[in-house]
Amino acid sequence: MNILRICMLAVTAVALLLIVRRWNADFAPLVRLGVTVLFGTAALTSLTPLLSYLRTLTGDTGLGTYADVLWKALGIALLTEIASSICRECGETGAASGVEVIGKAQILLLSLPLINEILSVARDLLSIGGAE
Amino acid sequence: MKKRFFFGLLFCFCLLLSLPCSASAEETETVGERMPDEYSGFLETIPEEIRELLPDSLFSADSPSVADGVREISGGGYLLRTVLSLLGADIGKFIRRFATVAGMLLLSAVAANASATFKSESVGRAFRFCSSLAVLCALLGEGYAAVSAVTSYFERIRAMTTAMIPLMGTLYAMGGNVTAAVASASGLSLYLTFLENFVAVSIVPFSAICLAFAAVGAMDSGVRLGTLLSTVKKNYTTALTFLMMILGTMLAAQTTLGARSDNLAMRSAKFAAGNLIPVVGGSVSELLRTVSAGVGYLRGTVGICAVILLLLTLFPTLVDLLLVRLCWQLSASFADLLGCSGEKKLLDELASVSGYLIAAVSICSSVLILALSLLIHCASALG
Repeated sequence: MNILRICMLAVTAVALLLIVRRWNADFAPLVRLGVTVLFGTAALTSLTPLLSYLRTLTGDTGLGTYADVLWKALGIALLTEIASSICRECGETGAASGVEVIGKAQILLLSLPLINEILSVARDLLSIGGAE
Repeated sequence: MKKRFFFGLLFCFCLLLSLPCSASAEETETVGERMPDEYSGFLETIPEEIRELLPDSLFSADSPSVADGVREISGGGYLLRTVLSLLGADIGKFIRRFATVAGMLLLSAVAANASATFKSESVGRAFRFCSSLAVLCALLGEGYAAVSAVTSYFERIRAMTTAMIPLMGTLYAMGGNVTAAVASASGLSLYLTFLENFVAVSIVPFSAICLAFAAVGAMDSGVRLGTLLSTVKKNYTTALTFLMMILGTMLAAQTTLGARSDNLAMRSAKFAAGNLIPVVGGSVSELLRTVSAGVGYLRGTVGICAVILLLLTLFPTLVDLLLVRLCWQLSASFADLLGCSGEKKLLDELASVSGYLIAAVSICSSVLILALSLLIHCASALG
């Protein structure tokens, strides 16, 4: 999806949203939700080739494991950000905070192998020093 | 009665002629021609990768063959060839290491830019934490490799020193430097104790403390541990340098004084033998001079050989550490270019730890080189 189409779609969606808001304000949040989901999907679709290129680039080096964790964390952060924005725009700040907390927990869970690796380096250092 | 006295005197004269003279003649023939038995024990402590590069003549039991080997390994061509072959592998490792760190820094910069677009501060912070952990993992792995290399170097040095003590003691004693042998052995034993109980035990905790402080500083820019870290580093290096300086001074002074005292005692004995024993006394003096030349030849051969082998053992570790340090410094500049300030701080600290490891390795090796130089330059008491 090229940028021209996306821009035209955005302008059309905003116009539609204005008309719907005047016609029946109750349907406006639904349209807004649909538009946000559409643009979120478009953003993820345009990011996918870039991410797959970066994954092939780092796959041949010794950075594969770390890069994978980073990309997954980036994906989680992006999804959390989109979801919490939608919730906040709909006036549901509690739900937005909940989504953010879950997103943070997911990122921290993803970081656990890295923390484990750092602890194993510390353990190795201690074993060299004879403090086992 | 006269007959019995005459036969008794003749028997004593024959006994006198047969026993000591034949024994000393055999000894003089072999002194300087055969390597001491402890020499093969010393060669066994040389690391396999260095041993492969040495000429076969160095492993012979005959001193002329060993001297030929030492002449070969002390030549400019051999040293240059060996250094380049050892350097080649290290440069390859350096490029791989730098590429890995640079790649990780690029990923970190991409992650930092991505996190800057997040409206939610908490999600952005969690993502930055994850990206910092990934960079830290990649860098700590490399830092651990450097510490591990230094530890194995100290293990090698310890093994070499253990083998060197009896070898040097034999060479000193062969030249009549008994007091110098005792002084050298006690100095090296003290060095060994120091190496086992202070350096080997403290170098890893010291590096671990520095790495931990650096990691904490990189993870959270609000924590300021820079002053504490620099105090730990300065005090550790000062203590190490001070102790090694005392050890070196003690070793040099005791060995030199011992050698002089042995020389004086032996000269008095030679003077007495030359004046009190009319005919044999002169030849004893000549005999001792020959033995002294042989011992000097052995000391020179073994001493130079040991210094070169020690330098060849030191060289890969030292070059590896220097290249690791260069890698951290270049990566820190690269991180600065990419705007990764946390990573830059961590890389600067890692470069600093490598610098201190280089200092520790160099200081500890210099004591052994000093002990060997004393052996080479110490004149035999017999001459």
